[in-house]
Amino acid sequence: MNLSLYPLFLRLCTALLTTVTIGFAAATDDYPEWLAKIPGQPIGEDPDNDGVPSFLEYALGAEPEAAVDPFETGSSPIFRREDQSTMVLLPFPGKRDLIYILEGKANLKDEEWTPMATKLGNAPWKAVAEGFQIEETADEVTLSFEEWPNTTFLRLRAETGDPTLQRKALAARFLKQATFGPSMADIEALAEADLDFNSWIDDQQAMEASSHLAHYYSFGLSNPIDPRDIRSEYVGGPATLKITTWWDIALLNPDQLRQRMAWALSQIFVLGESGSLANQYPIQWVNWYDILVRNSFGNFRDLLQEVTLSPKMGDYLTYVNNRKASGQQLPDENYAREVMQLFTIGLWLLNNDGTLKLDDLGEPIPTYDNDDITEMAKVFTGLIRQVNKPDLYWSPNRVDPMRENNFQHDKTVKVMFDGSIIPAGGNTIEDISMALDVLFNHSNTPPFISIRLIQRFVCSNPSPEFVERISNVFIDNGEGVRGDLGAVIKAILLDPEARDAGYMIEEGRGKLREPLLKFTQLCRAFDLQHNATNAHFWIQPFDDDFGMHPYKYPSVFNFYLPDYVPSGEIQDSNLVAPEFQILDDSTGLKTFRVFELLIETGLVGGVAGGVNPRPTLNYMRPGEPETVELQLAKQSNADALIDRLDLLLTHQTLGETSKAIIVEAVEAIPENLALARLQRAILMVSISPEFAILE
Amino acid sequence: MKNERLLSRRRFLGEASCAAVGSTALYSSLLNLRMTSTAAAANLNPDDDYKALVCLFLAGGNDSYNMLVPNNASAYAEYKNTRDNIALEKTDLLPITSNGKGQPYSEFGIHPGMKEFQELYNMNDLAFVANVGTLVHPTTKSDYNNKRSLPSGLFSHSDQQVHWQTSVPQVKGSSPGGWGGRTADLLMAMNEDSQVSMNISLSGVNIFQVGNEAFAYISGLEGGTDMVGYTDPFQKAAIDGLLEEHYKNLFTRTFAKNTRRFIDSSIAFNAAIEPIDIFTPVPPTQLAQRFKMVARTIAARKTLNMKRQTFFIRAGGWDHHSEVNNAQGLMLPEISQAVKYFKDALQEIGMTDNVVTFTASDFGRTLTSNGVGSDHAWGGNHIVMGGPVNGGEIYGTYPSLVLGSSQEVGRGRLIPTTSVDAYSSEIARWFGVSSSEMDTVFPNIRNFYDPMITPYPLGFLS
Repeated sequence: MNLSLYPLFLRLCTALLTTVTIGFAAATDDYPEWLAKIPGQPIGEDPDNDGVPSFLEYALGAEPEAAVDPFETGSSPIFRREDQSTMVLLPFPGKRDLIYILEGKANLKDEEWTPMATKLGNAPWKAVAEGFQIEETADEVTLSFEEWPNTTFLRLRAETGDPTLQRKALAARFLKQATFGPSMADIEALAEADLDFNSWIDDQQAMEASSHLAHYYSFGLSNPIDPRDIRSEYVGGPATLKITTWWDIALLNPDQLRQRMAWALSQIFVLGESGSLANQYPIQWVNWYDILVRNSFGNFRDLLQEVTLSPKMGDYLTYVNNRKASGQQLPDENYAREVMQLFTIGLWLLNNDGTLKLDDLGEPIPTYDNDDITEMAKVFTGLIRQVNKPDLYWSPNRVDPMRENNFQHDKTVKVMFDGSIIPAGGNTIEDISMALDVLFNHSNTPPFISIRLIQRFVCSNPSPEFVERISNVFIDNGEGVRGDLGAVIKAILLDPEARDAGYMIEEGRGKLREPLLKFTQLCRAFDLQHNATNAHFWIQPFDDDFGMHPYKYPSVFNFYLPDYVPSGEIQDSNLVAPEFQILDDSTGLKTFRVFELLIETGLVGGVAGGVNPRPTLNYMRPGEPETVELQLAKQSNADALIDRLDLLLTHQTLGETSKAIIVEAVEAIPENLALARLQRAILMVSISPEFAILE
Repeated sequence: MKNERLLSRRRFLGEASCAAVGSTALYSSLLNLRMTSTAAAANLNPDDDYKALVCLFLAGGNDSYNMLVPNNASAYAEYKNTRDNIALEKTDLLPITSNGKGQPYSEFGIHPGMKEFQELYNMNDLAFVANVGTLVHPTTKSDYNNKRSLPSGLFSHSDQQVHWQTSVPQVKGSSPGGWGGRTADLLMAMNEDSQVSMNISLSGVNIFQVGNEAFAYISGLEGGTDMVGYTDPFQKAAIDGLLEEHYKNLFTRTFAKNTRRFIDSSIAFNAAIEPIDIFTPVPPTQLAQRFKMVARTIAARKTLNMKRQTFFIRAGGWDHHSEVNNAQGLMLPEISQAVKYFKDALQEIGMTDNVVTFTASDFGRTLTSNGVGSDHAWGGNHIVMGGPVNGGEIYGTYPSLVLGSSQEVGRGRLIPTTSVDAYSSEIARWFGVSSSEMDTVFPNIRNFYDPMITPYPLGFLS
């Protein structure tokens, strides 16, 4: 981004600066447009020589005429002291194409300014520094602070670039949160739609769901239920068909938000190959995954019921054929434990904002104890598989929801962990439904699920206020419905903490991105395709390289824990960073090897029978129109190329230093080797720390 | 999500460092840690030779009461009665003898798939430690019933795996770091000039090897991964520039810093192990391959400048709610063969007397059957192996397997009679943690014994 940066220095102890009140009506929020409206032929950055450059006059809300009127400068901040606090009055609403940053430092010799408050466009001010209070009324905002004896200098900084470019950057950031990665066309469409995120989400939610089962049938297997009947070209055996289905849909299908939500839910309701049976029967697995896809914007309670009755989950957590106590043999406790610990309420009582409830001694309070699990285990007795349908699903039936065998069900009274009673005599599914109601309605479930979803889409450490706002939507979608996941994901993505770019400058904000999502972003940004007739992605599994992969969860505890704390600065700041759990010497470097392969040669995979059409990115495919990126790579100066990649891949977060470093490496390759230049540019951006972090 | 009362990591550094924790907490504590570390190193004999620990973590909760079984007639009958359809046949057990220190009888049997264990035991290279588990204090049934000072998250995989590694089971989560990591914080100064971490994991990131400064270097079966683009000088310069720590965002900075470290370690590690091979025939399992990589790394200790190393290997898949007998019948032999292979490999490189291997696992499992398997429980049996081990013996107290015993809290869940602290601290003591530093590594240790008086509480090392 070409930053125009005009710091305005303010000495706290000096008298008031000149203030001029101006009207806000009819103001434009587009700097180039404003510049064009300056009367006459203005010369230089400060045509009226009033010491306030035109850009700053614009930033402070002045009319274009003020640029050539030495007596008008816009609406400057006002300082005053009352009692012990210092107030800064900023009586202007803010230009939508600017970011305002108020910074302070102790003396002018310090190298670093400390951000104290930020404001994105006309959005409210937000405090960054501790001890800062913000009060905002319709026409003025007061920032007051105490106990900043060392801060004697303040400055107000405004940043912008091309406003269209900035809108595109905000669109790119949103689409990185909500999809498997945007193309430039996706970014431009959302920017042109005036960043109407709300409608974008509505459109996504209204879209038809891509069923993994339907897609699997589209492979055209002559007998899709029999894994032995696999045409020879399906390399890797039947176990890979479910994964190919996953890639095809994630990389190509339009219902991106739904598929991202299903992927996030699959990391809560974890069901992995490791520890499961029948991995070679894809039809069972795509059926399972469709439960998540189908309910992504549905009700959490329905999802919980479907998950619980899934015969795949019944195998995985060993409660299919679970029987009531007989002699010393007691019911299996596995599902009773995990449905509470991982799928709904968790181990500790939570406040609605996700913080721990504490007892009188300040200790956290367990949600349940082992006796509660033993009691809950009685509920999950009496589930058996549906009868085999060998002509539909092979056998045994691991597709249709489990059914009840009430002779195996424990019909005694059950006392739930919260004291509620499931009366004696109930049938299996009746009892299970009552127990799931108790879990669904428990006060822990909204914050427990909200935190996990926020961590997947937005940031690792949401504020308690953010969690509470989402919990409240989980509790009531506005129409009195609890558990509306469509409303929950919408609230997450539209929350100020997700949208307000002012949060981007906070040090502890954002998250390490899942390596898989970095990969899908590269694929989608450059339109990964086969160049042969085969429409499917046969991609070798990356679990060893990324530490994560669809269907290859190491255990029911997912790839990483939601409260994982890496040692070092993140730990010292009391923050969590789940994805750092899978970033190690091995995955950290192997991930780059996969990127290199993707960017430079195309992926390994392919189809047997002589041809080997590797999936390749668009700039590598002969016979297709030359991509914009490849054209830019032909220019001797690589700045424009890196700027474009910075928007497309890193939503303009690539630092000036990083950009200069990459430009130098790219320009080391002669101009006539445009493809090599482009490949190096993409590889270097994909290695950059800015690409790894979602700010 | 955070518990304000979590023990501060710096608490483990003891009084001197605590005093320094203030506005510049991070810097001070690191500085003090270096001092502690140097002081610890100075305490040791400068000629002190190489030592390594190998932690073999059986993830999922090994049903270890079918690994070490009573073979005495009446105790076996109790075992059979309690375990019912998941009991092993007496005639199938591989018999071993305990010399009777602390055990109520001397006849025991090992799982029939573990004949190498029997052999190692009889050669005094391997010992068992009975009924070990996570504890905050010595715990009675009445303590359990009244919920007095119990580990948090009992019987839960994620919690108990963490507690075995941190040995601070009253603290939920990984924030205290692992006892291997804290040990490394103290001893890493012994590995002067080494570019690779003292802690090496063959199974990815783990808590055991994370300390305040310590972390794990991750190796694959063939060593570390090479960085892409590093052969081209322009790309190398660009990558080096991108990974400099000038980033304002904490996550971005941490990512850059970690990636820098991965590259440097990988270069140093691969250069050291590349010329080394081990010729002892290796069993065809991934587990044995991992032990081979450990042996190669130990053989490269001089190039790597290592005096002390810890290794971590995870073998997963032990959560046998169903098919416990069949699954163990396949999996325990792999363990037995891999451990024996490792012993032979160490013999080949002449390091038998410098390495101690020990097991850890989430928990033991319920003695009673759920029909086809067993569920999550608490105390379990473990092995320690190596030249320094006083092998051919069962340490700790093998409990009664009768339901309703004083150790049993329902479904055959056994309160541990030996704490993870006692078990692990004995290993740490051998490794070089002095008695006076034991509180730093094991903050609960004085709930179990006084390390100044009893350096080796169980006696499998000395």
